[in-house]
Amino acid sequence: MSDFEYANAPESKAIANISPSYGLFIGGKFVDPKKGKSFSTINPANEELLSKVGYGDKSDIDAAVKSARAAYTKIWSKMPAKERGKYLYRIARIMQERAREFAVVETLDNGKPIRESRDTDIPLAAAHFFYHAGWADKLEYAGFGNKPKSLGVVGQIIPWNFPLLMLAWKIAPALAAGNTVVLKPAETTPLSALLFAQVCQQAGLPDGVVNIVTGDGITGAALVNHPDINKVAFTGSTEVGKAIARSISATKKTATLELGGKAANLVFEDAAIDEAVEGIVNGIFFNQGHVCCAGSRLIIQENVADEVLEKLKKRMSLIRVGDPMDKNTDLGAINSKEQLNKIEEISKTGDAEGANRWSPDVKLPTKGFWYPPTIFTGVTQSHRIAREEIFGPVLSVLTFRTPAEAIEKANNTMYGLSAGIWSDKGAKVLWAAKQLKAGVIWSNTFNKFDPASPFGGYKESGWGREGGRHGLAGYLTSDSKVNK
Amino acid sequence: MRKASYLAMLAGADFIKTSTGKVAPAATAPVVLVMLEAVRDYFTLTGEKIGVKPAGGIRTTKDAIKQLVLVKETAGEQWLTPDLFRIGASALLNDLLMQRMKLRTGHYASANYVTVD
Amino acid sequence: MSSLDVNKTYKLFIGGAFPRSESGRVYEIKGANKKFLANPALASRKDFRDAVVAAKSAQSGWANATAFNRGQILYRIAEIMQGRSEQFVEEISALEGVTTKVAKLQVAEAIDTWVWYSGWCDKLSSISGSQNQVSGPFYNFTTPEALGVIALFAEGKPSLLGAVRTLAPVLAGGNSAILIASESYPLPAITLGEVIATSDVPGGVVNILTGKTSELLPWVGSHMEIDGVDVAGLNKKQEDEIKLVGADNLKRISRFAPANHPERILSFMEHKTIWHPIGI
Repeated sequence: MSDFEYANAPESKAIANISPSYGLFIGGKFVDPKKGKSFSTINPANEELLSKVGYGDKSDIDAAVKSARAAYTKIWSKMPAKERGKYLYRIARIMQERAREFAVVETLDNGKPIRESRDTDIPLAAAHFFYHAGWADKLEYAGFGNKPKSLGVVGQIIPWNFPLLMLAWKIAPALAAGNTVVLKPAETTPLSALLFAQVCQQAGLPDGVVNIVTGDGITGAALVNHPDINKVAFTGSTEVGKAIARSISATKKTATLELGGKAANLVFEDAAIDEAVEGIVNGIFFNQGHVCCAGSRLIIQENVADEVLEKLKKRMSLIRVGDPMDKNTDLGAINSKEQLNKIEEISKTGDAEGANRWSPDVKLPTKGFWYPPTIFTGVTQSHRIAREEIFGPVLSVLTFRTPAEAIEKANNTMYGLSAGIWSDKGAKVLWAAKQLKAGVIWSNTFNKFDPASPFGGYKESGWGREGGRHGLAGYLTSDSKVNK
Repeated sequence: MRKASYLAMLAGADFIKTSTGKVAPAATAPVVLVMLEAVRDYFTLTGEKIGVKPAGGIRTTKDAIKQLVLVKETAGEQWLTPDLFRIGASALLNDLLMQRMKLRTGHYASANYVTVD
Repeated sequence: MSSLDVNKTYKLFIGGAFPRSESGRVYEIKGANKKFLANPALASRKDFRDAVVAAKSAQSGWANATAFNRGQILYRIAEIMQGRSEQFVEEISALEGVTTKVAKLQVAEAIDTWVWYSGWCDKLSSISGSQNQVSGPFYNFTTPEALGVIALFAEGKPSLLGAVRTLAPVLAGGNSAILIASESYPLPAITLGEVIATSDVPGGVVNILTGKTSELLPWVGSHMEIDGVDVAGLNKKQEDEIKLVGADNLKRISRFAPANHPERILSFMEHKTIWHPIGI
């Protein structure tokens, strides 16, 4: 037996430079909230205070929307498209320059492992700006008519699971299409958005084109309900998405919604098992399972179920849970006490309803919010853990006998965001992909994202797509749809 | 790779090795991963432990450490012994010596200070 | 006494390096004011042959890089060119005899042309690819692919912009290129080579030759490794000649209107359609 323990591999915090406080970013400047209120943001890995950020209320939202409208009317809608594109290119390039700084801030504020922020979140976010910069002056080729028009001012609300990436998914296409924005970051993860505001300043972006108002759900509601925005773009829970749809129902506002999911990850008997196990682990434990498109239901063909589960458990025992700033870490902190409570509550129903819980032996840190990687076997479709989005590192395992049964179980949900297919037979993969009611289907892979690839869900997973040519549609007027 | 590994093990090999080490590409991470998976699965099936020897392209201490990590994460700690894992390399030794010099002295070493024989 | 200028030697750009012509020949270029400017290389058929070898060898690596990577590199060319604007402005003014103001506009447009085509790299299959709804249980999709090695005859005036607007679209599509600079206005094309050489463009993806169009023309037209030609800098007679000779390997030969257009990219691409059955 050998003693081959890994040394710690800490990433330095020094590059982060987080201010003790931040104002709201309105009209190209950081300003104090009108009522002078602020709130704290902490590091969920150790509950330490990171900063106090401004609390935006209705009057601040109003100021931001006014600023966005003025910028739209006087500057942005008049600017030649290729110049608009060049601002976006600048933003992309500066994000690449400051990539390490962004990654560290993101990990400290969100709790996700530094390897993820550094290798996934931040590069993808910069790539989104680079990709959409290229569309700005090519909209007439995008299949939306000869002279597609922007909408005006867009109100955008993003979640805490991929703070900077979700900001990029919202702001990049909006600006490329010629709109101006007011964006409200999630309550627990405001910092990378505020850093992004600094990038806008460095890029010389005209004042008011991007406005960032930090706050909570009330701030968000004020933005959704503001009479002078033309569109709402929201990523978050299905529950809030429906509330937004109701709020805007009598208005002329359009909306795109990226909501929840309960994706099925189907492993067929002819799958490459070792690869499938990696895909399963990535599907549910990447980003602590805080992923709308997480493969949270593993559905295995019966005759390979035992083999897959045995390998899966062995693989899960190798998952390193701990300090997100350590480059060895695989699974970081749960983003908030609130989210941890939710995970615990729904998981307990798994035990109560008769499923079999298993976690590897992990030593969780004493401070901060943590949950071990967990699977439940013996799950049936009616269990809450098979129907409800847990949004944590908890996997529900079911089985199937025939491919038709696999599809039936996979589609038996009001969600329809994503799905995974593991099989070495091409025709079978394409057949399954055709049957699955999901907006994003990963075959023999999982959790792959690219600015050129449209992302979005069927059914209650939302409205519209983000990314790719299709994603532009949400930010341009339609030739055909009428807004009464 | 996996098939070849199984054939060799079923034929009675005690060790499976990538190649002589003088061809390229040779012991890349994906290749070694598959061989370690084969050896691991063979152990589950038969209880027999077969050794793995990657050779070719492992030039630096960092490369070697990556190989050891692969072994630990795939086949397991039991394989971290010369009876079950060896690295076929020539240039590696001098790099290892230079790394040890750096550990000892605190500054970067030079190839002039290690002999080629 | 002020310091004497160190005048540039204008060499060829082949395989990422700047060699002289293997023939050792040069020719004289005078500015619009009839004053001596430079002795650029007079490329021979062997220089052209070497350029094709370099372009052929570099092409598959370029085509297989991600579209995002190609886009980043084309944007980098714009960044580096922006940094050298003044150098180009001086060169264009001296060569073409235009004012600094006019030269500046040309350089700005050349930079913007790189930015424009950079943005197309990862969007080509969005406008020219498709999944086709065939009537049968088949997944069928069409995707654009790089053509190969493209020869470009740059226009004389505008001397920089003319070169850039033929080169950028060809690179965006994943092709490698051999740019034959205008015989009378060659200098900015070589300075462009310096920009390319410092922009992370892999060696051989772009090659630039200066020399006599009439001498190189038959070799370009007949070389069986050249897959496509942009005849912007040729007159009608030369274009007809190259079309006649180029028929031997069915070269894809085009002349374009000056404006930027995705067709300038797609004309030097192939379209591949793939079928795969759907079924258990």
